[in-house]
Amino acid sequence: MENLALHLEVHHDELEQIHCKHCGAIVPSSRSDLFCCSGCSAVYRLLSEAHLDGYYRLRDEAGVFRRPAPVHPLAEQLNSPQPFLFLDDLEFRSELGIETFFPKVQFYLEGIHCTACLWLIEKMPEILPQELVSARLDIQNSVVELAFTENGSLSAVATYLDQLGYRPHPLFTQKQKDDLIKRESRTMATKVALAGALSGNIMIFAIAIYAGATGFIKDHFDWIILFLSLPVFFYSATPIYYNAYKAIAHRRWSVDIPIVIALVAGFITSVYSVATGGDQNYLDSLTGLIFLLSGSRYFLLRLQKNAFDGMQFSESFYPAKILRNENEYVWVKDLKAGDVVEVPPGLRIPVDGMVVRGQSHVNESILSGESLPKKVIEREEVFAGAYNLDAPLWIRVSVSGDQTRIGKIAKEIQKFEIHRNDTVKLAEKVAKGFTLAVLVWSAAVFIYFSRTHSMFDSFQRVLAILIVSCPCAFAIATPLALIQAFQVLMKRGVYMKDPNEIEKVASIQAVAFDKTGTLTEGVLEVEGVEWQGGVPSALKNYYLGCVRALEESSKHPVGRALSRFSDFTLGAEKTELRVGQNIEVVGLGVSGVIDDQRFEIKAHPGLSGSSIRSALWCDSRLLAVFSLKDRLHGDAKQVVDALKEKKMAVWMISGDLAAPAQSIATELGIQSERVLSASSPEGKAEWLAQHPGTLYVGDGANDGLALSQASMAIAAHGALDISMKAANIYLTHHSLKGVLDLFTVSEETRKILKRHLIFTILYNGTTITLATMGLLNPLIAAVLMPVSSVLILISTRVGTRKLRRLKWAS
Amino acid sequence: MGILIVLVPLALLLGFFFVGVFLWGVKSGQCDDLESPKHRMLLEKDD
Repeated sequence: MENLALHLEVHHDELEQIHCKHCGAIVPSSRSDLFCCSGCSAVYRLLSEAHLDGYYRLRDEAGVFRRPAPVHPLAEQLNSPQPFLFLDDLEFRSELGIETFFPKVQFYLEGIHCTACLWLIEKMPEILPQELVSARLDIQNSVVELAFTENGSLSAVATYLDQLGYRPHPLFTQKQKDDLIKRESRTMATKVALAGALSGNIMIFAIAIYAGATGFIKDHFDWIILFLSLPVFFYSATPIYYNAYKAIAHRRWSVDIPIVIALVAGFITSVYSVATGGDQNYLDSLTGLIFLLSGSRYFLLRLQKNAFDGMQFSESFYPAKILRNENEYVWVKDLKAGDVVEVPPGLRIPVDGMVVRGQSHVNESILSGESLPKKVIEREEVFAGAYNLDAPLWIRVSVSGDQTRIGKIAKEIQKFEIHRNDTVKLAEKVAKGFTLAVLVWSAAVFIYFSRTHSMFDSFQRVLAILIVSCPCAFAIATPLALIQAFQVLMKRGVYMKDPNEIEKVASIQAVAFDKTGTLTEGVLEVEGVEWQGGVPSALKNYYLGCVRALEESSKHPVGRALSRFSDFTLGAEKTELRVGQNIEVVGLGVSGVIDDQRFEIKAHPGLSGSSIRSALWCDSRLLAVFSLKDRLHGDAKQVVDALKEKKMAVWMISGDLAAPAQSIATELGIQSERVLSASSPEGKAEWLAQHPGTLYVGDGANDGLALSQASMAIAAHGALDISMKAANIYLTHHSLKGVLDLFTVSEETRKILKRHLIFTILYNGTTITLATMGLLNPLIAAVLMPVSSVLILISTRVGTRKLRRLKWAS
Repeated sequence: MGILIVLVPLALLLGFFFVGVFLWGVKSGQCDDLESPKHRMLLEKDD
């Protein structure tokens, strides 16, 4: 049964807005069908023909886990399909350790956002049974593991995924790192589970003793408890010891230090007590503590395993093989200086080099942030990473791989990924003094009491103090508070790689924004039309129709802007203009013949402020001048104002010229001294390195280096994968308000943590006093520890409930 | 109270057994992805 939706003709009502049947976006009035773009209608058709329209029913019913999908930022300019053929090359596969028969490959998929996607992806083996045996999607990381049939075609499956709207990026080189992460996570899980199981079983025996068991039973149960606790102390607790050791080695304080002291003191006391038949068996509380502590940290660790780790600069694989010297296909990595390669349109230029033949437009936004295509002709330099847009180019290689500008940048980013983890935690500052105070006090107590009481008694008091002063409640509650904050942010579309960074926001004093694509939409828009005198109004619509006809298939940003403008102005009016001799002129223009008149649209000289001008000519007579501008992001002014209210210095860094940069700055209220223009990627990074305490928000790949150098970095919506790798925070909504949300959540979380710290200090202060006075019965001490933990856990839940109900920026 | 001689080792054995089962589960990768099964559960299987 043919799907009706594919054949409906729609008339646009002024009042009603039609939503795309596939993606839900608003359908422009120039379209007469139910889809927002040809991409969506293609997917819809694909799904209908394969009888998979259950997808839509599921999406509307299940509706859970909606997450806006990252879209390839150059989607408009690139129309050629991404070639996946290299995936089938056996030599290539064996080099990367993929089996020849029944291969298993992992892909990162763009655009996964809901349960229906999961359903669709995992149904693929039914749709393509010749190629696939199984498909398993990890919805959180957007990674699908595909198991192919004996001779399954990787490229066929990859192409199909692409057509469905999930652009796949193969993930092979990360295999070793992935395995390491997986193993670490599994080891942690084992340690936590063991601690939980054993401490639970210990409690079964301990309860008997608390209930008053004596003699034979008590003695033996004591020993059983001791044996059960050994794996917990010597296996499950090792991360705690390791953290404390690392902190001491770096002369830092860590909350693990007093915990280790408490554990060691408690263990010694308990062992001694069991051996001598005494009463001070703390092992049940201590093992419970180890379980709760490692448990909460484990959950925090799981959140850090994010999709952005799995992503790499995988696009450097396209094209993996390229035609060299007109006769052989070679791997990009085998290219040498002096080779001449042919780069067809739609692909990334894989090397830095010089054009020896051919003319085309390239998009160098990855390096310059400039989204306008640049014309290149012979003898001009091109750089690796740029997209070749129109026509084939023959390029002589200067450098390739790591030596290219983009390669160097990628390497720099990788270097800085590691050194990111010096977060300043609130706990460190206050509690440092506290630990020292406790140690000094214990020593004092020992010395004082040993004069009047027995050594043993004094020792007992000191041990009780050490155990009871353990800030375990705080240590357990902190990761949980961070997890809650992280989840709240995630719901707002702010993805963090490392939840520990939430506290870091407090040390930020300045916020710097990239201009193109972050503060602006990165899309040109027609600001206004200046019709020349002598153009009759009756003909205006006709001329706009000509513009539309001429620019219909243009991939150029100016062309698309003009096309959208004419669409919008003319509305649903359909024109039957036939264009003959349509040529795209080298430069900024097109020309064609309509109704025997020669029309030309080309660049109009004279930039005014940040506007670009384009003019419509007819038979050499100027009809109209269009001024185009990169539109400001809707939220930009609001966000800048809010940040200024928070006493943040707001800066703007741009790769663009001074004039357009300044004009946007003025519009946003950014002081002109705080504007940097004409910055190269390296320049931006250097400035950020010299200005610590700055939060940088950027999007283009040319921001990658800058993002990795900033104290804190946010990759805005639409960022390329290299930026996502360099930044720690990613905004999935097309809105800058995520930046404000980050500040809000961080402030609230710090308040909660501060409250916990105060509680811990007061509580510990009281119990230490009691322990000093010898009033602390070991039984009571042992019970107080979990009680305080529970109290703080409740406080965390209550505190973050407020967080979730906070009034939001949007 | 003599029954404890049987119950205590039995309880411990049971405990170890379940810990063993859990460890096997972790090793076979069941705990790697905790998010997708939640969604997968809700989908209808048309077997």
